[in-house]
Amino acid sequence: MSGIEYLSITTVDTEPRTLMPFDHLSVYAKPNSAATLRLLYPGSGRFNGEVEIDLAEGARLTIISIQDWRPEAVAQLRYRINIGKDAELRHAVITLQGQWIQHETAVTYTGPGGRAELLGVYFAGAGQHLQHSVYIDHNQPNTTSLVDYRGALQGENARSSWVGEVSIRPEGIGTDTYESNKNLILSDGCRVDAVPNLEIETGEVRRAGHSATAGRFDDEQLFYLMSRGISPAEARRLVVQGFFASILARIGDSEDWMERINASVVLGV
Amino acid sequence: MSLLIKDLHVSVVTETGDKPILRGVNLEIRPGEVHAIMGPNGSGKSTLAYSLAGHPKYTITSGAILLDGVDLVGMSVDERARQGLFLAMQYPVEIPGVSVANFLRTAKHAIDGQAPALRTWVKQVNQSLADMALDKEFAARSVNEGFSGGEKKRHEIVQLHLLNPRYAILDETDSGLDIDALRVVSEGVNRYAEAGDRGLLLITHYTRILRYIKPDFVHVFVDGQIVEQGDASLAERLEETGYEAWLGGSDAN
Repeated sequence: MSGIEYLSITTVDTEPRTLMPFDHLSVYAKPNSAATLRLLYPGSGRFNGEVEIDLAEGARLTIISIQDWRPEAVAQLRYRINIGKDAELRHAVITLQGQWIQHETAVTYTGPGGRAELLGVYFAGAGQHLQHSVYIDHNQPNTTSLVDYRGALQGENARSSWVGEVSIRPEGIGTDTYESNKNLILSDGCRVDAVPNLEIETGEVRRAGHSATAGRFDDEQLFYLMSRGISPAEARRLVVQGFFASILARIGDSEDWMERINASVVLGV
Repeated sequence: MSLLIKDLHVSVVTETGDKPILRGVNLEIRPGEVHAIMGPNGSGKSTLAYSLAGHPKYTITSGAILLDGVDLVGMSVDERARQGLFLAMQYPVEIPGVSVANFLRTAKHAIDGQAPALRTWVKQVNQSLADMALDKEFAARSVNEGFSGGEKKRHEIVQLHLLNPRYAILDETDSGLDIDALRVVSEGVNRYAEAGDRGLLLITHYTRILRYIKPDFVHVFVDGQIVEQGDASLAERLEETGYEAWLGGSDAN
């Protein structure tokens, strides 16, 4: 069957209560299958979860991991992903809030020609620390990885840490990889740590690049919008929405969720 | 009724302190009039444009800007625009991820104080784009991102049409345009002005745009001041003589 199966899993009750301390999920995408899997993490308390995913040859899988925690939640999540020959993974992380959230995504390839697109959107409020790390092991020929994480921070001690670790092994000839992390700092008192690492053990790569930025609103952008009568608050909302727009379009989840995320990222801007 | 600039002094903040740029500018633009300010590089023409619009980099140290009797000097950038002032910029700014359609609608809503009627608005936008030789798909692009120099200037004139301000300042709108784009842009400006009740201030370095847009008044701007005024023939004289005659010992840059 070639149709797309859609599965949405809510890991825990949406009521605020102490969660299961540990959760383990295993996903297998059959050869040449196509599916979208949405994992929703709401609630509060403390949580430790692991998701193992295997993509067989030619499988196409989209995974959307939505961290919709309450502000006091503490959570650690690990995604371990194996990508088979010519299989395609799109993995999107959306972290809306949480006191301390650590989200790790590790990708390895079990055959040549696999492709991984890893997208992230986060919004850290006052006193929240959001950590995202990405590990990609190009241990097969002609594999691709594209990493794009974007976050906004607002409030005293809002903090983001991002680590992108890409290894290209001697056998990873023909690798194409680019990782990027961009941060928009909306107020004083925020902290951003971004560490893009790239280790290359072969000279025969198609592309290997990385970048990281952290910056404030561009005054010239605000001036331009305001010179058209747009209020400062509305101008800032437009710039923040624009900052996330291309990545949200690429995640392309259902409209409801996109609305919810849009509302969250512009909240209080 | 007029845009009245009275003895305007403006400084820019630099590392070595405030540096005066405008040294007492006096100018009145009445509805239906087209004024051209011409001057050499570094004379302060763009500073005048930005100061009128309220750019935070420039400080008005004394003087007044009265738009139909309302003083703009204490107002924020957006308040000035809502009073009816528009600045077509020399270097329009990129806003990634914000579509032209969203931007135009948000601006129109802000200027009018109410959302534009959906049906007629879309038609109006498409018509304005077509007038400036831009196709419908242009509305889906991010504001100024990846636009050619000509597209940026044509997009400024699309905004001029849709927002239809009482007074418009065009800051070097002719720079970076080839001859065809210059004609399209000039015709667009003339359509805006032909209503007869709008005030227009063209800031330019060269006389070529004045072949398409006929000014009622020409002002020569040197070292932060208007040093000579005349009718359209003054621009022709400038074409022959340049700014040399007024430049004796000027230290502007």
